[in-house]
Amino acid sequence: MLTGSESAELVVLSLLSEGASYGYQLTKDAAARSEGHLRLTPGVLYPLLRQLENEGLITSSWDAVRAEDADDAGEGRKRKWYRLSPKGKRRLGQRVEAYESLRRVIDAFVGVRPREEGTR
Amino acid sequence: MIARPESAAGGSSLDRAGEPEVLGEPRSIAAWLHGLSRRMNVPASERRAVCDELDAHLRQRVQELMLCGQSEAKATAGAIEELGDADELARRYTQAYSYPRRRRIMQIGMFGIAGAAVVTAIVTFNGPGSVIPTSAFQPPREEPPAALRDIKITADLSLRWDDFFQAIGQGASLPVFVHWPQLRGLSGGDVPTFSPDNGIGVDLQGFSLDAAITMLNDHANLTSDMGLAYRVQDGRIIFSSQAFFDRQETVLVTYDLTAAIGARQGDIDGGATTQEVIDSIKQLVTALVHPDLWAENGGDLARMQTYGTKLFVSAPSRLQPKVQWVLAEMATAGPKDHALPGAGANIGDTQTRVFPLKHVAAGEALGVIRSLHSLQPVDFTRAASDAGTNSIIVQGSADLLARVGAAIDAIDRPATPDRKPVSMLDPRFQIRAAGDGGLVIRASDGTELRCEELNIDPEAGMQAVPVGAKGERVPVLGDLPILNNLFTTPARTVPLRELPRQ
Repeated sequence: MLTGSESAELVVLSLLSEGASYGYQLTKDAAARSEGHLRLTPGVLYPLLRQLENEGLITSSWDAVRAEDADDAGEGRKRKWYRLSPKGKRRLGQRVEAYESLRRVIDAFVGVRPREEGTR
Repeated sequence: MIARPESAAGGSSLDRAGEPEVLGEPRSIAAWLHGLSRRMNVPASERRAVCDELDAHLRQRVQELMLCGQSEAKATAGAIEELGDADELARRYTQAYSYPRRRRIMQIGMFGIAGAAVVTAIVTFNGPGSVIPTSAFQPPREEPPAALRDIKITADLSLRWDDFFQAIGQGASLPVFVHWPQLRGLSGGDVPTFSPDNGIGVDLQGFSLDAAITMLNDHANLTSDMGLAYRVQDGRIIFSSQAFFDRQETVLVTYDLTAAIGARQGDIDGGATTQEVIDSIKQLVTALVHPDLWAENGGDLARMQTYGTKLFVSAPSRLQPKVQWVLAEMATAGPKDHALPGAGANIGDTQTRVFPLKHVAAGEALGVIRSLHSLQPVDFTRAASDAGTNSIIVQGSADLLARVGAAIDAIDRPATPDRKPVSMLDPRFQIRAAGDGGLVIRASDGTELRCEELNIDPEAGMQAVPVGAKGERVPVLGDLPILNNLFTTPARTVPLRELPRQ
């Protein structure tokens, strides 16, 4: 099942499963997906990325910031890109499974009302 | 000194000799990063990498805020503030850098195997009230080679690794070979822990070689499965990673599951398919026997496949006796022996208890109780679920077992159709069922929101549908969702901050 840190891990691995990305973009993507409700703060995200890299779940490489992305002072700067490793894909599958298990359990004892009876 | 955003924006608090100055860059970012860098207890190359990455982040954020109309100074201060306290961030980075290589068991917590030094003890039960441990796995006690048996190691923490290894060789009168590439790979950083010129980092006083290696691995946050190891081969002491030796010593063994399957199926009410029993057996083995190594748990040193009733296990030879023992135990112990309510066994101060469940799948229920903050003192690596008997087995003190039992009682209830769907809950809210079947979300300020429905959607986040809102959803949430308060007592305090009013 998911703890808070495991949820953050799930979010990051999920986003990276869609393609390589970098820290700033990950914060933006997380916010956009959740309509601003889910906020991966940089103070949490970057240490987490380091930890995931340490675990071999993601890999990284440095790339020069493209001119169109850079401001005037940005030339010569570089950006750290992250990619999901095969091991990370397996971990993501386990995290998704844990999330689904939790959801099923909650539904089982709280009870599930058919969607069409809801008020949405 | 911490470079706070306010002072950092002014760029004066950290101005001093030796401060890096970068022409054309906002001075406060460089100063703040320099302050952060000094607080991180990681190698210099790692500090540079962190600062480079955060520098790129901050500049992009500043640019974005300026596009929204903020001045550069205000945008810079805001971007830095979003990173939080420098001390806290440095602490997180340091922790992340030295994150233990041990992998946590993902789905199924079983009796923990913390390392080779820990004797695994698993018990079976005869019945309530008269519980007798019938079997316990005792790893064969391996005597160190004669040449190393009497060595006592005393070393200062600044002793170089290369000198450390060579001194052991001299003490044993044996040549030493060190697999530096494998050892460097253990720490994963640019400046590895295991490098010829690095200090060993631990003061050793009269330790045996095995005890010294345990200490050194622990200091490096490495489990014995993932850390430094040695062998004596061909008259030489070879130091390398445990993983290196495990790969050398991997063997393929087949086990006949017929007896284990028969023992399980015959005693399960309503029966279980062979595949279900096999899945249960595989889960048990991968959770009990060096869990970190199995491909099923994200490892790469051990794997298993079944063909009919044959189990093929490719794993380091040191694992095979444990696998064999677990399977033998399953073949001789019927599930009803395990499923006796309140059954327990005492080993020292630790008890083991089996909690059979009626309404909720044991594996899923175990996951839920592991998520409950009120049970955080419980070591859930010492808990297991048995799909065959739909039971949860927990090892711990009597107090912890009582708390686990209470949580299971709360969880193991039949679904009632009048309750509302809840997909995920946020710890900052108290949520309880209303008398009419709805939900009430209570904030710390006493504000209450009665809901028809509470849901979290991967696309939309957590939302509630208030009573009478005609289907209109309101956002209820902030940070990462975690279930922790649904089953706890009303007296429990749940921190939270905001709640949308109707």
